[in-house]
Amino acid sequence: MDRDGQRVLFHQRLALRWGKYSEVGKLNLQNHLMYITDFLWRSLFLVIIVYIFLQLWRVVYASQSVELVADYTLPEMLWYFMFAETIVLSHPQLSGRIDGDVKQGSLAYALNKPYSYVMYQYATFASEVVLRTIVNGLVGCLVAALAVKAVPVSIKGLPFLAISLLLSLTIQFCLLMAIGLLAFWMEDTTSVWFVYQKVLFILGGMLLPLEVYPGVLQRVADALPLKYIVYGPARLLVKFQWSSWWQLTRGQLLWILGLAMLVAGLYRMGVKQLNVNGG
Amino acid sequence: MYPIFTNWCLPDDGVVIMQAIEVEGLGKVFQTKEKGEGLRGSVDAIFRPRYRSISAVNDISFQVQKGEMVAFIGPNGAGKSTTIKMLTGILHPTCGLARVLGLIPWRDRYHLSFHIGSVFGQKSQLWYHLPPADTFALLGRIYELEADDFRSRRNMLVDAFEIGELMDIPVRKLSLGQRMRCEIAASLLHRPEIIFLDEPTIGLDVVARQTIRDLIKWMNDDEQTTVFLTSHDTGDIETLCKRVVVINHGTIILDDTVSTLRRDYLKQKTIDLKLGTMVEDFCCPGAMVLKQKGYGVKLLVHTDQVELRKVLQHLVENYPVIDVNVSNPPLDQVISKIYRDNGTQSVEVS
Repeated sequence: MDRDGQRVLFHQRLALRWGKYSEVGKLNLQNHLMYITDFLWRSLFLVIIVYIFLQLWRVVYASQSVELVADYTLPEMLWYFMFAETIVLSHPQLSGRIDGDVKQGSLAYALNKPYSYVMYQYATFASEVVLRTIVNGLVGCLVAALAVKAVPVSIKGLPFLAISLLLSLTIQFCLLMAIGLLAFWMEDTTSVWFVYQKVLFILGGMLLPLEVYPGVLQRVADALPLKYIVYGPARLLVKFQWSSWWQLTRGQLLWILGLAMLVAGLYRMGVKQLNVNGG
Repeated sequence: MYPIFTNWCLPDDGVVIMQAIEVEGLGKVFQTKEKGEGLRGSVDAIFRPRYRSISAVNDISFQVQKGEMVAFIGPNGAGKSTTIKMLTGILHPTCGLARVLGLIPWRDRYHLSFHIGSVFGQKSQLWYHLPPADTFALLGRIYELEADDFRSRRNMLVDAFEIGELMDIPVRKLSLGQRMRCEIAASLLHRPEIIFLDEPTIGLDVVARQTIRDLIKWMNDDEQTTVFLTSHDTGDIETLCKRVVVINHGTIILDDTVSTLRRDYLKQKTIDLKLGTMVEDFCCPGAMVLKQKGYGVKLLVHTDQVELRKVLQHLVENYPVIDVNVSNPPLDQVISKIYRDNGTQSVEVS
């Protein structure tokens, strides 16, 4: 029975309950489409950074007189870097927004509406990441294709790569949400985000594929969820294999499960904190 | 222990609930971190944090009938917003009980949210860069309205609030008054039985303020929506409400009719005049000149001694009036007077 006492079928209730979040995502997409030129300008950074790394890697490959560095050819290395950079550049600084919501009391006002604040934030984050990934990805592909020859991408693997990207953004969402929610206990979460971002650049595999690192660093990276955000999907683009896709997906799902519980716990404790300290 | 509310039942029981809000001994204490002065204080706060308890709301009790329009007023920090947050389920109280439409707000927040609406004058629910039509569509989905129902309800509100021309303009391009009309209409989409209005006229000019007041009145008359209004503007209260609850330092200091408030505490009106020419020896029977500078004159009128209408008539007939503004005494003054009167009464009783 619904709130007005009318019989509602299970699937209808499900559609009503969850459809609101897709609407949030759609509206956020509309909101950002109004600033599509801003996104394109931001992509300019991608062009510059890809060009710089292309020059660096050319020198490395030439000086070593090798075809492969850690199993990557020069074009593969550049395409990997472009895609890793695309992923990182497409993730907005969610923790700053949550931090602001907590401090300015906006979170309190979101609580008296029939939706989950966390799911609402997920819908806005995901839609923004999707749009940014498309824009950055197109620009990045164009630059990489012009700079070096195109790498053979598995067409069949592309939909599965999209799934990996969706799971990657979900892990990133959980981590950024958790950092943002720390605002309930900390004066400023920017420092935590700053450190997190730098660790993601290195141990997430944005600057270099993890195979390039020494064994100890690789083991540290293996123990963290960061490689499932950047390294995993970026490697899939240049070296797609069903076994590695499945391994990546399994790892992503496990981390999502654990991190979702962390976010739920932090959120619940945070709302209690709101009760103690006031809105 | 608080009494069991025998006249209440959950909405699912099918019994008509007469009271929209019932509050009994409600209180809220916050913990605030304290920091001593200077660098030493900052270092101390890291290693030996100290907390202070602040009683934001202190043992308040009141009831609001269905369809009533109640003004809940008080100065900044009086406990108005904390009370609203408890009544909408955002905050858990430290003690006491409250029921809104038969539901305990902090326990049944999700279900209650379908039956209540809220407008916070300083917090917008409209998406800033998009036209209001988009936020309306989103709210329709959030409140789980069927598509046909949403369309007819939206069209009705658009007509009632005369916002048809504003629906496709990005919110950032609307004036504050236009935005507020859209805010209130948006908060009525799901037909709330109670609406909490927190400073809905803040920052608005005279015309926009009057429009919002008319719309709130319409909402109460035509839709029988219970209105719980907080405002700093005593004009809002005089125009809209029959009953007023005054809160200060977390305690209710007055719960009476607005006519009593007007009779006892809003007797003085200030008139600000702007004249076309300089007038020397300005004089108006029944009004006291508080200040005269250049083309401006400020007058004080005791409405229990002379009718405001007569004073205004005299001014318009005898002076080149360009602009006039009539205002109530500030809320702080009203509250001080309530305290003085309460003090006097208690002395008399003792």
